Amino acid sequence: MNTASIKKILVVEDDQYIRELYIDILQDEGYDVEHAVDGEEGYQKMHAGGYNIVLLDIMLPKMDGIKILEKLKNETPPIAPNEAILVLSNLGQETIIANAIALGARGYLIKSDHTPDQVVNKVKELLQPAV
Amino acid sequence: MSDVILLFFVIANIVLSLVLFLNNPRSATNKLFSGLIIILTIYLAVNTEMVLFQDAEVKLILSRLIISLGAVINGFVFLFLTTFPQDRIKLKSSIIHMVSWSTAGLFIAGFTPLIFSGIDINNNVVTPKPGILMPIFLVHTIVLIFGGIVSIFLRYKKSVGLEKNRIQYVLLSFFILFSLVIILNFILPVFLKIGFFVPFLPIYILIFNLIVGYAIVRQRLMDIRVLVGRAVVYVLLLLMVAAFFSATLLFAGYRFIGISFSSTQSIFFIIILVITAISFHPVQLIVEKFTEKLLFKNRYDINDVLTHLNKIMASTLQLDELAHKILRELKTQLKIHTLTFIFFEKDDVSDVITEGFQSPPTYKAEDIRQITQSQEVLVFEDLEEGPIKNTMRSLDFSVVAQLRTEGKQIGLLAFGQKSSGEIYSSQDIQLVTILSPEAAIAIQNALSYEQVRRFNVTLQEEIEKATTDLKSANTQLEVLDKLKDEFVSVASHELRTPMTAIKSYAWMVLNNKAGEISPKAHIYLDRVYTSTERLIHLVNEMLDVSRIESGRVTLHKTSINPLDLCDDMQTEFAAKVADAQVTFTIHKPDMLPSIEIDQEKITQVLENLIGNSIKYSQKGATITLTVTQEGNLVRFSIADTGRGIASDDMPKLFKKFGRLENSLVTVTAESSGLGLFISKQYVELHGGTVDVQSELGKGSTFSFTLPIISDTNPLQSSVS
Repeated sequence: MNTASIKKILVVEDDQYIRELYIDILQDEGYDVEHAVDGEEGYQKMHAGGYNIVLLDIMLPKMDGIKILEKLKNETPPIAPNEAILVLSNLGQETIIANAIALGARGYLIKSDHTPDQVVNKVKELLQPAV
Repeated sequence: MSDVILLFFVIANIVLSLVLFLNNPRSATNKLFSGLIIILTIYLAVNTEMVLFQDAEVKLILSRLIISLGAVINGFVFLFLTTFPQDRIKLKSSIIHMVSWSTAGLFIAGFTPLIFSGIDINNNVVTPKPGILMPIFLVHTIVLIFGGIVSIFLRYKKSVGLEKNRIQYVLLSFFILFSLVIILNFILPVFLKIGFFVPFLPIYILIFNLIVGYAIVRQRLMDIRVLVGRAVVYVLLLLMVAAFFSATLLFAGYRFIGISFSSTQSIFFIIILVITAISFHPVQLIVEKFTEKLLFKNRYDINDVLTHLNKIMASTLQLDELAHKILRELKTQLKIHTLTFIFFEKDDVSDVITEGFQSPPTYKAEDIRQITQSQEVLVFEDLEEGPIKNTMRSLDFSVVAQLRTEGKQIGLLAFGQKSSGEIYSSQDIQLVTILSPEAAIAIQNALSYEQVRRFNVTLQEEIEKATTDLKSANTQLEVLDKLKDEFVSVASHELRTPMTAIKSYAWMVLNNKAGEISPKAHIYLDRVYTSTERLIHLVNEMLDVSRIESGRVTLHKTSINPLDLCDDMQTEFAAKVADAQVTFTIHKPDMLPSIEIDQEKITQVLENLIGNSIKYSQKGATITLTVTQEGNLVRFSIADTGRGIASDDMPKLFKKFGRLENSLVTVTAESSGLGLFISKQYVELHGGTVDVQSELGKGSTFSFTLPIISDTNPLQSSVS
């Protein structure tokens, strides 16, 4: 049980309502939440790294989530590592899911299928050290 | 008299010898026989001329020369008979040595008194006196001559084909020679005192030489039987002619004209006659050819032309090429100005091919109708005045031949004027008559070939067109497919995004994250939340159906125990069950085998069926989930005591939207109508079956089975 430091979370999501919802509910849990509004910014911040968990949307302007994951894995690894990546998307195609997992995502969930508290639970689950 | 014969004989033999040698200088057979001929010639010449010399000394020398030559003849004959008709002497070298040395020895000995010791002359009859070695000479002669004959006779028995044929000729000629010599030079002179034929010996020898020469030289020999047959016919003919002539000459001449001829004169005349008779036919042919060349510059050999035309007709199946070649050949050989082929198809002119026209005319069916009715060749000059002749005059046709095959008329072959302006001869007409049916067949073949070729081309074109159509249809389908994929993506993202926001914010407020709300607000907002959930659920189902329909469903199978699934359901529906105030019980055995299933999808199926049951049940109703094993299947049954389903509606249950055709009445209210469709597909993808039992007013039981052992790849099976 690590309570020494406050968890740092990055939310990469272009839709304002959803982004602000996630920021709210995570901040309510006491996490330190940063955000990015498009793929480019998301990539920059993920590259700088150091997050305990990144909530990453796939459909983003400027650069999509898969591309970000590709670049971070194959070209320019993060300077400070990101402990976990949770892909939050509304795309259900299995190929994309498999792709994301292969590129390093630890989890994937369909936004419209989950209530806010379910999202928070998932985040907490992934904040536990990997077994 | 005999001198003439002798001279003729010598010259003929020398020529023959040369011809034979030159025919194949390398062959032993040719060399041996050429040599033999020369030696025989010298032998007989000396023999014949011996009578001219009176001096005994000279006679003795000549006799010795003769006997020496005789030894050489023996040697040659032996070698020839053992070699014929081969290229090389194939005797054992020991034998060759023996023959050579004995022959050489006797040749030399012949000039000495050893063979002929001296000479007796009694009344002009010359008789050489035999010497000591004469017996040896006789032995030499007998052994070699008979040895040769036996050898060739044995080879005759063993041989086949052409070689056998050749040896037959040699044996035959030997037989003839022998017979002639015995009869004419021995029996007749000695027993009947007829010495007339004796001087003719050289001629028989010449005949013999010719026959053997023929057997050596010719590649293909006439059948001996044919040869003998023809010779017999010829001889009989000559004898008949000679007999008639002699009788007329001698008898009638003597009686009616008062002339008598001496025997010499008579014989002379008969010989002249025979020679004339023999030479008549060959001379006739030569004269014919000569005069034809001279007088009939335009003559052609009908057989040559027909052979040539046959070659042409066999050479090609191309109608155009065939027709033109035929016309050109006729034009050249018969010296015709213009020629035309007219082809019919279905009572109309289909094609016209011409030679010799500056600008080919066209023909219409009516124009030529008159000349197509006849069965034979139409010749302008031979026709009576009438419609046929008029037609031919107007079309400028001198001869028209029908092209008929299999009873059908396929066209005409029309001849224009000859270049020389002459009329067509009977030979020309004969040629045309023979040619027409053959040409008809050749043309028909070419037409059939053309048909097949055209059909082939058409077929090719059709195939190409069909392929192009298919390709474009395929492209269209690909486009539609892409559109569908785009729709799926759009639906996924664009629809779900705002729905996520609605649902999430409603939830936040409902859960007092934005502060307390009034009970009424709670109810209202709850309805907002529920509606959004329905909407999301509907979109999810439509996306599922889209995936199922394009075959892009992947089953991720894992080993799951059905008992665990049941427990999950219990937990999941606990709240809903409580809300709907119904009872949810599970009947399960203690043990069940695990099954290989895609957990997410089967869970979806269970959720769908249980959800439906809850929806259609009143308060206080019971919903039972039963799971059992049936052989190698596991069966899940969800029974409710709801309102049931009418039997009319049963068939539509598992179809998309479950609607009656062309009706706005929905079979199931409050449901997308897709859930059962999707459930059925998922179950069947696992290799299971779905089933429903229901009675209106009493309730329904939905069940499905899943195989315990899947026959496809256990952990992952993809269905396309």
